Amino acid sequence: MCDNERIKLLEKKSQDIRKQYLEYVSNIGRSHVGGCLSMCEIVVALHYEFMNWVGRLDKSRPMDKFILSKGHCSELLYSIYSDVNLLDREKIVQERISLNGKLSGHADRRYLPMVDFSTGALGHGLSVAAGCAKAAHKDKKYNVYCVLGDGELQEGSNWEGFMFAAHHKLENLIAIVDRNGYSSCCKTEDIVALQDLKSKFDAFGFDVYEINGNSMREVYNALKLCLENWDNCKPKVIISNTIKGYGLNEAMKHPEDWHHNTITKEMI
Amino acid sequence: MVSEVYDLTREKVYADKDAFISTNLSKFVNEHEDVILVILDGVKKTNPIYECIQTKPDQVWDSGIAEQNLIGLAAGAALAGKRVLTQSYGPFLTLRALEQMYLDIAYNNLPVCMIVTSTGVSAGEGATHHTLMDIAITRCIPGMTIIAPSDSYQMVSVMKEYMSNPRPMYIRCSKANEPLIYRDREEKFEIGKAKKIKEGRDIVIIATGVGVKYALEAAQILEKEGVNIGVIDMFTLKPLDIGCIKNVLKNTNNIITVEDHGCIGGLGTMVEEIIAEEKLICDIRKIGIPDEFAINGNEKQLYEYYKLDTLGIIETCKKMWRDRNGENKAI
Repeated sequence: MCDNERIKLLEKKSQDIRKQYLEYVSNIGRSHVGGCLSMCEIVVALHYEFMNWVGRLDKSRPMDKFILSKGHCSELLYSIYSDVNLLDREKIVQERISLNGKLSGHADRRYLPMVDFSTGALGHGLSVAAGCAKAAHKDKKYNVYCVLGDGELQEGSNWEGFMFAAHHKLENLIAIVDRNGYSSCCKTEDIVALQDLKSKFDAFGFDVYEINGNSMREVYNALKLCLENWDNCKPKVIISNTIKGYGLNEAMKHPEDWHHNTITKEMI
Repeated sequence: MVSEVYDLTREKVYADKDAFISTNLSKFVNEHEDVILVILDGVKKTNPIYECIQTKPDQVWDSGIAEQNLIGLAAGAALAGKRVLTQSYGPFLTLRALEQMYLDIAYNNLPVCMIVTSTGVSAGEGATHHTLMDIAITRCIPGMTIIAPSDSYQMVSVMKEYMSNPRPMYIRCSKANEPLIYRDREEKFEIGKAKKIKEGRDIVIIATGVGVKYALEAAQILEKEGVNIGVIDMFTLKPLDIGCIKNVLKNTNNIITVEDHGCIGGLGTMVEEIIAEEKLICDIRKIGIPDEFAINGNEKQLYEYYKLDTLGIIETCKKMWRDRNGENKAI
């Protein structure tokens, strides 16, 4: 299959996952809708094309690791897990609303074996991903993918991890910043501006890609380039410029209200 | 087990705990390819770990002066299936990287052994460099094993236990140059089981970490004056040997706890909790740092000031004895 065909399939899959997610949220009430929808293309491309993971497993090589540092957007993953039959689609709503159900607002590996690392507090994922990448780096066994929010880059711990990753030339670390421009209710640039992230990552010694993260073509090409540049002695970062709430009109109109909000069936 | 074996006043045998830790960490790295050691802010060329960094750069990492990164990296390495040890300076880890310890290590149940040194007031150097609430904090973390070794052999024994049974573990050490209490290198320690190192029925001192040495010396001196004092080495703070404490409480109503830690939330508090739960009436005196930022001074001065040293413990014992028996029977 050529790249174009793959991209088309991934675009379709992305639409499908968005739909499944919105349907799921309309049954449970509130979710971190804005951030789930903004990162959808990236997460779909990783899980259906680029990552070797339990839902799409090539047993001949070790599994990659995936860390969702912006753990509050775990619920989009549940739609992917149920889509690949790792979770029962009929039961995910019940699992989310029942006491001691498998699903919570932040994916928990105690309940979900396909989750590599439980997250929820911001600013944790990158150092853990760097440690994991460093441990696998000697033999270049696998890649470690870490999806971060842009708001959480205000946490200083991320930059400790970025420094370490660049110092150790962790080529197998691929960080993706979901740059949707908003934290919980305000623009990141109005609170504490992140400014020119590309220059910052350049200066840190990363191999930097800046894309429209809601364009599957750009997502696909960037991730492909990251893998092609496997041996360039640099950790990779994709600045994925996205729209918070992408795909849901209500949310795109007022992203400041859609960090955590309720979806009704009429909105879908 | 009895006093004549551990006569610390007769013959002091000192061991450099830092060297002990470093030598053993290097040994683990050299002998096991799956062991990762993460340190913070370098080591001196004389430290055995220095050579390890040169020969095993893939196994010995330095987080930089970045405690949150230290624990995050360690969690990541454990996620990759490694056995991971970290070594850093006590005062800064629990307050700076608590969330990483709580979530990255404990919540994710990753087998990382975090070793910290210069805890309590042992660093001297002023209040910024004191570690007075790490026991109180870490004991609230589910699934965390917490150890305060009283001597170097015990320290190494615990590290070996981690190697054979990796789990989230926090080991708090005080400063270097501590005496050896357990001179027999084959002495066995079981995590979660207190060591009764001296029998006694008048007063029982339950101590942890560096406090054990001073408690033992105090007990030996008072023994000669006719008071029979028991000493328990509570080197495992979690899981706490509740059975041992209950047993102690069956036989005496006079308990003294000793710890180089704040008096709030540490060993003394743990014993008080058991007394309350068991609905017992008991005289308990807690030796540790009161609810204050400790004053300036070096380790020796501070142990003396806060009555953590041998003479301070003797004073507390005598006061307890007087309060119990009246002035006439004072020792």
